[in-house]
Amino acid sequence: MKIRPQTAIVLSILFVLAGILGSWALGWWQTQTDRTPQRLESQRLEDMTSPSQAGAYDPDDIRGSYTFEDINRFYEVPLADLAAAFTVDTDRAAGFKVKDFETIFPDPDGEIGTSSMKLFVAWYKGLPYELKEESFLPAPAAAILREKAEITLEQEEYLNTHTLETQE
Amino acid sequence: MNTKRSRVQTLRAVVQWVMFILVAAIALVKYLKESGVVIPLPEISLHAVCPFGGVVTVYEFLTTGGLIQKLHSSALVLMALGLVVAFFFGPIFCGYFCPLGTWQEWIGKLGKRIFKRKYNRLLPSFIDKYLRYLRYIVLVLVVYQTAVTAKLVFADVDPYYALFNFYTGEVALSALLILAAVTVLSLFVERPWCKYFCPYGALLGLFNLIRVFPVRRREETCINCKKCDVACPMNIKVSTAKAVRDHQCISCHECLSGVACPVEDTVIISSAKGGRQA
Repeated sequence: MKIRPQTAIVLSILFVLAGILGSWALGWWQTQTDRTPQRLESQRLEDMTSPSQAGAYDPDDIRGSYTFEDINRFYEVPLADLAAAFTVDTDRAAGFKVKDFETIFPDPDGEIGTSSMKLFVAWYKGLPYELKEESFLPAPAAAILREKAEITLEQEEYLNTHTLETQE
Repeated sequence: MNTKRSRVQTLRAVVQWVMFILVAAIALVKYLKESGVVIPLPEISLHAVCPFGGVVTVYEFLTTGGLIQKLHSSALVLMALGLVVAFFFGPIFCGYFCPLGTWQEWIGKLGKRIFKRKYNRLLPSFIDKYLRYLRYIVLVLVVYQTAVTAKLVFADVDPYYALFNFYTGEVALSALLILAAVTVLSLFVERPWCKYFCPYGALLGLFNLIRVFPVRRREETCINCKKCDVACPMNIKVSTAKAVRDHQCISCHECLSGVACPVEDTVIISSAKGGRQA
């Protein structure tokens, strides 16, 4: 069967549009991610420092696109503590994204990044968090953890070797 | 003949322009909204409308039911739709829809003015024919690395993403350098990224081997003028084949009767089985 190129193109466009429309109707067409982090899995609850945190959001699901305001909303860490910990001006802390750490910590090895925020939130809230990579914290963050969080001896030792001095 | 020619090429140009503007607008809206500008439009990531995103996340989807970070289910839907279209009509995505292909064609027009008939024929064929398989290595490496790391590793070298996000500050330097290299190479070679590196083009290109409606040449009416060969941006020898089954065909339809071929009903799209294949 011979087919004209115009017909092939029009059929292709119609097929793609119909496919998009159909998948949208079925709920498969998602172009945006649900910004809500996942809750901690039930099997990990027994590892938690505080049983009162049951149903808390998983700190491991903190994303680079999260703003400090997102973290404050989901994980209930005060904005002031987040701003102080990561040396971000308080007036721009709410909209500051975790992935923008590289603009204030221009370390060539990128040692302070999204994993640093995961670590900080997890220890601040006493939530379970498995270190998958070596994460560093700025000195003010370590100080806030020592002052406000119930950290273990093991965590204290980790902070002693994974804290970076920041420029004021 | 001129009317037919203008219709196919005009339609192609319109589709290419619409796709280019659409993708550029999607990237711009996302950037503006992230910058705090209030726009009553949805914020869509380019990764959400790139069918290759669906390819690289297939392993993650099949093994965990989830998707690679930054990707969305729309990419899987587009991948599936693209593969079905390719099964029937070949890599029409490459020839008509891909904005990076369009970008290379636009730059290539300048190259044609500079090099005239030598354009797209500057690379020795013994090098060129082996380089054409490089994109399969890229495809395997990208899919494997994505599966192993569960990260969108291709984003760091993706010239398509770089082309539409170069002003956002979110593009890796490596991707910008590759975009620059592809742009410069397009002055000498038509669609260099598509020919040698594009992993999605590699996948879609395989459908040329089995597509239901390939390009076919009728020997009985062919006058052997080789205008189809000259017109092909991928340097396929259409004039020596009955059916074009070359893995590099991008379904741009430039070789067809009424476009490059001056003889009516000679180079056509048809499901009828032919003999020797290009």
